[in-house]
Amino acid sequence: MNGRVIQDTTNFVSIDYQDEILVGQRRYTVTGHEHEFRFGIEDPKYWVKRAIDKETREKKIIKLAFFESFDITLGGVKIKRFRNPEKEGEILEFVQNHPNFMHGKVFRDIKGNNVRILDVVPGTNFLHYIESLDYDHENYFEKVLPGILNRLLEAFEAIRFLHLNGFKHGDIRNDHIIIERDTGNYIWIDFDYDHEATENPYALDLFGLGNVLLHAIGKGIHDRHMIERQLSIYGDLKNHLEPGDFSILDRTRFVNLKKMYPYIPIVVNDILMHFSRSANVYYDFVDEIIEDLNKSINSIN
Amino acid sequence: MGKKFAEEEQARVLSFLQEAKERLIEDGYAPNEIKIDLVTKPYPTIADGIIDQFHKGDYDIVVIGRRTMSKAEEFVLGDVCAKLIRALEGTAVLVVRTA
Ligand SMILES: Nc1ncnc2c1ncn2[C@@H]1O[C@H](COP(=O)(O)OP(=O)(O)O)[C@@H](O)[C@H]1O
Ligand SMILES: [Mg+2]
Repeated sequence: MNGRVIQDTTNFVSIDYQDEILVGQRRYTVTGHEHEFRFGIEDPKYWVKRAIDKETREKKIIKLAFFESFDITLGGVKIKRFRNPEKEGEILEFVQNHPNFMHGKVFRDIKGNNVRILDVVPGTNFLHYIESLDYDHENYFEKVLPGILNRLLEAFEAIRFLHLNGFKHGDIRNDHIIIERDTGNYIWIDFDYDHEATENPYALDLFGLGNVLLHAIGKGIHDRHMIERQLSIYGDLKNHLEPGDFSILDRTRFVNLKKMYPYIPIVVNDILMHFSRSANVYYDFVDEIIEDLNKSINSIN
Repeated sequence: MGKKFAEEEQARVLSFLQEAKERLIEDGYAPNEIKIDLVTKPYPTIADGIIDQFHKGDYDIVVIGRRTMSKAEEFVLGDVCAKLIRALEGTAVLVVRTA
């Protein structure tokens, strides 16, 4: 049904195009919901609405309370993950003036549901940005990567700021950084995922940062399957693979990029190798990655 | 964590400590020299709790069990022993491999 005024967002699936969400004494006209594409499959996200503030005509993204909880298995280790809208709200409040996070406000609907009204960050996400660059790897590495690493350094500092204040991002992925069109700032979005506490509360965030670096330095992710099949790109690399070249949590993800691109300096490759199966020491804090990233940037320039 | 679960867990740990005390007494330690203390105050991590308690009391050594972990487990779940050894520099930390 379209054109209703909605004050209770519990049943978010039924809220559709042309409905109005009324919270915080403001009306937002729904224009659609978000999708994520994973492995080419479209995944509708009914709890993430696109909308327009009726008064100011500003575009907004409205995230509605959605509680799901499930186990994920990473490298054989099971860990409980869940959505925590309150956590996203607390982070939004905390990062209000920070240039590397999305901004927004939390409201309650008449049933007390958490409704987050978010400013839209205009731009391309980091995953697509890297994929769109038309360079061979060596040129990319020399000419483009140093600038990207400087920007990532800022984004990593922002995560450090969260951790120092006891917050986890919870879902650090390449498509959760948006490169803001006008400023070029790298901006983190999507803070509602949470997971059970362990002795290493920030491990999954750090692993996410490792993946962002892997994507940046490798100009995309390279997995075992690609290396074994695409000989015109990878040559005889498949004959030199060792288990220790792969990710500690995903045995198909190739991490030892220096084997593929010998001009990558050791300091740069060593950051990635902290996330490999041959690692004996792991990063416990973002500070440690930032320190090594700084050294890496100096080594490339 | 549920309240019932927390209570059961405390009883379980206490009886375990009691058993350890009896073993020490059997081995010739004086009962009045063995003190059991169960800390129920929540901490962000187990290591944080042990480190805090260590600094509050007058202790000479930390003895802790450690089961064998895979690299992935060590990375994702963290390793209490490694954190203690790092944080309690200058203190003896005795790690007992349990399985
Ligand atoms: N503040 C924002 N600015 C621009 N796009 C956003 C913003 N928040 C979310 N999106 C878009 O909506 C998608 C889904 O939102 P997200 O917060 O990632 O939901 P979920 O928690 O379900 O993953 C994102 O992948 C992104 O494309
Ligand atoms: Mg998302």
